[in-house]
Amino acid sequence: MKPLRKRHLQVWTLLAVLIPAGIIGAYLAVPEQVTGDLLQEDKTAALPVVLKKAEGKNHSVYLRSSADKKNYQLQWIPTNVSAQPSSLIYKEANGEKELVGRVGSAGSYFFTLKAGTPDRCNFILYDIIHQQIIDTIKF
Amino acid sequence: MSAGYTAIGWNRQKKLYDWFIFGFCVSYLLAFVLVTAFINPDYTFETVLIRSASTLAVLLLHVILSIGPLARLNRRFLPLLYNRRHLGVTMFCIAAVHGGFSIFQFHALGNVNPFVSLFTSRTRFFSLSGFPFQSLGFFALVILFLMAATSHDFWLHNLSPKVWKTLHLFVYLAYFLVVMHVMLGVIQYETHPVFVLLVSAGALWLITLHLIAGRREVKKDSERFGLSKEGFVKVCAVHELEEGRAKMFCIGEERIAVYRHENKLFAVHNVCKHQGGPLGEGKIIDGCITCPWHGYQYLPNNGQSPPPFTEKVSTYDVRVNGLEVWLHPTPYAEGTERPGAGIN
Repeated sequence: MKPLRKRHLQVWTLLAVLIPAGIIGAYLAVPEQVTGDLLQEDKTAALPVVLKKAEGKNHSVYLRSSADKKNYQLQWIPTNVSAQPSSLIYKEANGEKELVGRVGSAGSYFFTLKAGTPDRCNFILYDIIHQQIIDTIKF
Repeated sequence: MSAGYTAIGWNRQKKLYDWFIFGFCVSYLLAFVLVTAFINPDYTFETVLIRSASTLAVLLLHVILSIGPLARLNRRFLPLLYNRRHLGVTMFCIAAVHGGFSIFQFHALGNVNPFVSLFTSRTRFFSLSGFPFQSLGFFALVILFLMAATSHDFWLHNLSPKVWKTLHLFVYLAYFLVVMHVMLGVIQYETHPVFVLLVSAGALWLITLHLIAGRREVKKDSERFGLSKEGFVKVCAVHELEEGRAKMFCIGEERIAVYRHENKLFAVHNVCKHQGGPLGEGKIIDGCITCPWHGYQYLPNNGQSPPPFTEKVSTYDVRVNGLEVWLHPTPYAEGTERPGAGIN
């Protein structure tokens, strides 16, 4: 009994240090809430010119532009309901990758691309949960 | 205490205790669901179930961890100690509901094994905000499962009280894992300060309680008994001993309980044969020293459990000189009859 209660006291002395340190550390690490910084804007209208079109296994992808080719847009339409609730799209051009946006398992998604987007580029659909590439669309 | 094997030796107190636990848990869950339906009507049933079960399990864990030191600090809390294991098993079941539904909701709907998903969906081990907090909860649940599964006396007898109590010390590790599971999980996105305050208040309460109770034990054990004569040590005055109760004295390595019963003093080893409970914190019931933890009983004059039970503890010689109580710290063999010391 005596050694047992001594051990209890030793354990709680240790916890008296570890628990407050853990609580304070975890609280300080709480990330700041991000608001109004969505990757995809609502109600984006489709640009009129379809520059390229590709059919993936589970999605149709359109590279669109304005008539004067000053604005570029990517349209992503899942054709089958995806097993992944949410995936990321990256643009790969000239060996550099850039985050384009996030798509869900169904719907139609528009993403504004930066001016000067080259005609030859790849779009990578990436599963963030399992950390693997689902598909690569090559234009 | 029972002469033969029964899965649970039910008695009125146990039934009342369990019915109270059941009623409290059901009331809490219902209240949580109703309040959530009022405040956040958009929440799904699964989310409400996961959250209500988690908060209830954490609340019960705090109650369970408070009972021990409270009972040591004040005898009025001793009845809570009885059947604490039932409370522990209940808490594990509720925590298992939380864990099970969480794994189902967050990991079982993909094409990966839910347990593989649990351990691979978050792997930022060097980031506090991205730490795999679900793994912490999983390991805490494993510890609570082991404790619930071995809570029956069958395991106590097979593992031995020392191993069993050591195993059950892991509840403290489970508590630490639960605190970090909460802090690195829900607290990272439910940023209202009330949640952090609740977790902190719970931890502060338990740490304070255990440290106060522990320090008091150390103080009691550090007491020095200066006068000795013919191997006997002067331990206290007669009037300090209350009828039917004991005082404990730590002489050398172990504690001895000196009981006052029917105007006589008897000394026995302080450690109950069942789970190592403190016999000196119990009282005399039906002429027997009764352990405060689970009611194991011993006759004060010989340290034997009354027939048909077979447990025995060591006895000691005790003397009364005038108004002083003198104790001989050398134990007799377990179950040895001693005459006790009459009080004039």
